[in-house]
Amino acid sequence: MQRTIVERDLAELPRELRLAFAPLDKRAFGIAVGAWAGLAILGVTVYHLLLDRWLLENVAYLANAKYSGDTLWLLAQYFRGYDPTTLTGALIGGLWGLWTGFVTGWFVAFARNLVVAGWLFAIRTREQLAANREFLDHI
Amino acid sequence: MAGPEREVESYLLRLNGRAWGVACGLLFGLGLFAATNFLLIVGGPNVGQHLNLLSVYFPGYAVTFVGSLIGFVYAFVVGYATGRIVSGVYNLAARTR
Repeated sequence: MQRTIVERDLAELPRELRLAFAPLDKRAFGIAVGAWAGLAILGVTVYHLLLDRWLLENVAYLANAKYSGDTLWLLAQYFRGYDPTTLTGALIGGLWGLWTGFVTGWFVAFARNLVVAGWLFAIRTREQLAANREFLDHI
Repeated sequence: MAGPEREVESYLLRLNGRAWGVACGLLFGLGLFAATNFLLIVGGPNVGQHLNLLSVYFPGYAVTFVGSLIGFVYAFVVGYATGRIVSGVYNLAARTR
C-alpha cells in the first residue's frame, strides 16, 4: 500500500507525537456526527410529540402557542418533508440530520487533517532549512 | 497491513470518550453560560426572548444569573452525552473500516 506524505511524516515521529498528529478518519467522523445530529432531531421532535400537552400547560413561554414544537417548523425550510407534528416527519428529520451531520463531520475531519498536514509540512520545512543554513559556508 | 501495524493504526484512530465528553460538555455549558450572561449585561426591553425557549427542554433554566448556572449544568450533561456518542460511534466506525 502506498503511504501518503502525512503517514511518512508520522512514521518519523516518536509514538507520543504520532498520537497528537494522527489524522481523523473522515468517514467515521462523518458517521459519528451524523448519528448524533439524526438522534438529536428525532429525539427533540419525539419529545414534543409526547409531552406537547404538558409543555403547553407548564412552560410560561409557550402560553400563546398552539403546539409546543412550533419553532421546529423552521427546520422544514431546509429539510424537505420534515414535519414536527408527526412521527413520520420526525423520522424524515432524523434522516436529514444524519445526512447533514455526515457532511459536516466529514468536512470538519477533512479541515482538521488539512491543518495538521500543513502544520507538519511547515515544521519539517523549517527544520530542513535550519539544518542547511550553513550550507554556503562550506563552499 | 501487518498485524502490529494495524493495531497501532486502530489505536491512533481511537477517540477518548471521557475526554470528548468533558470537552463537549464544557463547550456547551460555558457557551450557554456566556450567552445568557452576555444578554443580561447588554440588557434591553425583552431580555433573552429566544434563549428563554430553552426552558422547554431545560426545566428551571431562565435568562437570569441563577438560570445561567442551571443552564450550565444542563448543557454540560447534553454536551457530555454528545461527546460520548460522537466518540463511541467514531471508534466503532473506524474499527470496522
